[in-house]
Amino acid sequence: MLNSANNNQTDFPGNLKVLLTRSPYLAAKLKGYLEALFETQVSQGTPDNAVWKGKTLQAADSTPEDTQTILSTHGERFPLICTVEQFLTLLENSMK
Amino acid sequence: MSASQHSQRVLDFRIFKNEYWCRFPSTITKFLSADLVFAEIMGVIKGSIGSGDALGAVSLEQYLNTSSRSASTFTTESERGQCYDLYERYEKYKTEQGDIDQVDRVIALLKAIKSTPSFDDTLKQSFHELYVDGMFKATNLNYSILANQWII
Repeated sequence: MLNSANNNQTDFPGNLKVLLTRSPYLAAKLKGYLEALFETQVSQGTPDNAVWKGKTLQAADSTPEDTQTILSTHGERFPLICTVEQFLTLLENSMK
Repeated sequence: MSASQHSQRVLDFRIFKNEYWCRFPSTITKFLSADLVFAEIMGVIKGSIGSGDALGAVSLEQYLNTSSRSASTFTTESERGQCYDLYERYEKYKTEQGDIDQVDRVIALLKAIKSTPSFDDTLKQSFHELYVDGMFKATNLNYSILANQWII
């Protein structure tokens, strides 16, 4: 795991956690599991519900779209799970 | 196909084997394996950490002097000379066709990060944690683009 040199989570809205994998199959599976976990947490109203409040998961059947940029993935999408290929596309779109 | 017909196509091993390999001299290719040559080009000649510092492929001399530990597929001077010859032909044809490969993408991103402080700042501020599955399989340049932004 690599931590950002800037570890202050309050400095920038929607600090993003990213999981990269080479396998599109694994990425899709993990997103599905995470979505199930997210729904469980929200529905049960756990003490840590505030952590999930206002957050939405990246859709289980979608990966960063071809036009997605870093800024468009912020805040609302938590966490970002994608392949290295998709992550490169995300960065390239952000450069434009 | 001309460069205008499929510009910026990101080529992979399938394209390399089916479209590029047949264009190389058979006097060289008959002794080498397309998959091993492709891996050598991507992982050593273009993608090694040495090339990452200068953001370019290693020279023939650097490649010939690379330790066998770092590049264990082709270890003799003859094999490496042939492989480098194929690399140069590969780059030439790739440019003519307007294709790019994954290493080209990573190098372009690294250059953009280094030359654009605002983009560099955006990356540093955007991501809090990065988890990478299969890091040991990534080429050194792929690792550089990640570690560049998120070194502890």
